[in-house]
Amino acid sequence: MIARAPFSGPLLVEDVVTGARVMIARDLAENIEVAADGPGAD
Amino acid sequence: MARARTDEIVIALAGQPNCGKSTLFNAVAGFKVDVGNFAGTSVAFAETRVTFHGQKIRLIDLPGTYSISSHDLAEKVARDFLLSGEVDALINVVDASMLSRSLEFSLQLTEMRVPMVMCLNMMDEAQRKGMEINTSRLEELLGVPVRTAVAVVGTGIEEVFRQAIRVAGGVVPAVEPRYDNDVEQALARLLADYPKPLRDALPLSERFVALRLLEKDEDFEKKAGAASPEFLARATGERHRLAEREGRAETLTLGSHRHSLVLDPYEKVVRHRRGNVLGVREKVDRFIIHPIGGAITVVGSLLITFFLAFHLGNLIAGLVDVPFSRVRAAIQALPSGIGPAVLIGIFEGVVAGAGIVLPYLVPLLALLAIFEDTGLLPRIAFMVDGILHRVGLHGSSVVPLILGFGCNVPSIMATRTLENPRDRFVTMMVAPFITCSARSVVIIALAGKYLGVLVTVGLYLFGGLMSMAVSYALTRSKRRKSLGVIMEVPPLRQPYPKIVVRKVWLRLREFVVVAWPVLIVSSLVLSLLSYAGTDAAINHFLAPLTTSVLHLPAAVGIPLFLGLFRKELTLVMLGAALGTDAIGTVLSNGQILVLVVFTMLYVPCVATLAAQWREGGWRTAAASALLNLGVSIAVAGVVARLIPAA
Repeated sequence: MIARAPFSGPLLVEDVVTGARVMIARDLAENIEVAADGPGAD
Repeated sequence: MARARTDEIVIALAGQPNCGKSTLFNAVAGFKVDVGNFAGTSVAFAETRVTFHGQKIRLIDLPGTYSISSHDLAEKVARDFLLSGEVDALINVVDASMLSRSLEFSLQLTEMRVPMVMCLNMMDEAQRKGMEINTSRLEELLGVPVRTAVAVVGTGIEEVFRQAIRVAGGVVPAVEPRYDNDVEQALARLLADYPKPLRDALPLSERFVALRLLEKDEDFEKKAGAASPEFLARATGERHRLAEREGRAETLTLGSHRHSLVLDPYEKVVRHRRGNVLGVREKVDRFIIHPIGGAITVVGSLLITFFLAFHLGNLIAGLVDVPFSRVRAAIQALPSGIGPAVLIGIFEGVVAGAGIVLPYLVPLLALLAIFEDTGLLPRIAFMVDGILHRVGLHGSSVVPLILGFGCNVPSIMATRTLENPRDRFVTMMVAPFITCSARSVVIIALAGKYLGVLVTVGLYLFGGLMSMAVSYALTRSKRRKSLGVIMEVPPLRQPYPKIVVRKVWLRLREFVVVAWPVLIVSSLVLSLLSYAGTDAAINHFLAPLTTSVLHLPAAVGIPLFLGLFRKELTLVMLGAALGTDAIGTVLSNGQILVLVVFTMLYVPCVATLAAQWREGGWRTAAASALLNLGVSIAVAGVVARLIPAA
């Protein structure tokens, strides 16, 4: 996570692989599970 | 849309949002579509006809889409065109600096079995991030030609199109992506007995159709259900089994497999030269997204915009006025008559465009273009989203509203990206309250000149507050739990002067070609009305509003009415209506403030109303017009009564 916006605004998260930055609402972010392993992963 | 000529090939640019498709399109077509460093700039497809090395091409710029599974209207436009069978060759534009993420969509495109070239755009950005991409290896793994480009400076574009022409109508991707055993076995079972009615109903790659059904694509399910209910039932069964085996939602199972599938080629073709070094851009970015730094950035941007637009505007206006003043004196010396009235009308229209509107509009558009290209606007959206959320504006409304600062028309069109009809309606109602560049010209020229830069900035912030108040009022009774924002924030980029100049010209051309002639005709009509003495009758009709409610002279009635066509007309016609360009000698500061507030808030222009009608129906357009009119009368009326001088 890179930053939190003021007034309970979104979180700014960065994908460490691509460097892509996405803002995600806090309520939504709470429900996101980051999985390190997906199908087919070694 | 049917093909116009048989000797012409159709090439479509497809890719994820903000990967540079429109920049590539503009590089080939001349600057025809607006671009910006944020996702969602294009919501409809643009097309042009070009001849490249003797080959006639119908070139299509599709809206950015993250996936073939369309979710909003803009993505649906892209998907429908891709599936229409019209495309001879696809140019899959990819942001090279975000390769792993972009490859998922590329993979879906290859599954369509359409001749394709991959254009790795923004290679400069990828190199800046320390990425080395082995394009030959990527070609082998994907089975499609891969070419590199930096579209903003024109590098590599020729080779991309040369390759697209070469593959058009012929070579399809040589390598078909293979999923893991579970998915491949499910596909094999489905394809072993693929029904002919489905083949006729969906003349696409059978494997692609089966994959869409395994991904629970509703459009494909409808078509498959109509053509072969039995096949749909089998596909649904396979999907259930896959989802159950992996414990995932049915809609996510295949996407998850695809995500894993692209990691392999990505790891094989990309090397990172160095670790993540914090450069100047990253340091600036950190400052902007900090709560305090962000607030400084938002207010600072506004101050810089108005300060530069006002002072540069004054400077240019002064220079432009010199040659015109002598001509004006000569025309005014002519004896009264219909001929001089026509001459004065046309002359004042020409002078108004060149001497009043353009001087303020050009710097304003240039600054807006720079802000858009740097990627500052999505960061401002990040900072203010929390506040917007509290007034009922949700996440994805931010992009349409940002576009509104340039012009309300693309802002209304951009609401196509909103899936929820209620959000779309509210955003369409709020967008006309965003201070567009035309209204900004009025604010800067009047408030900037007579009330000072701080009041001007205050008015701009007031405009933002009014938008939020309207949203709050509209959503107060029907608050709902929002899904919240998910929006990509592009990297900060250095604006390219060539792109900024072209973008300013694209927007300026709209004023020169469309608005200026309207302005000249309006000036002529006003002059003739004045000559015939009928302007007084119109002003008298509008007097209950102008004099009773707004405490303004009746003469401002016609300028305010003409503002319905173009907001700049209010400014331009004001001088003619009041008999002097020195507005401050006729109106008090309080009256100027009332006039500016009313102009900011009432119906933006007929073009915006037409866009609302087209996108939301006549009821939405009528409701919006009434809302703007009601709010403007109420607020400007209150201001007129609060300020004694008014």
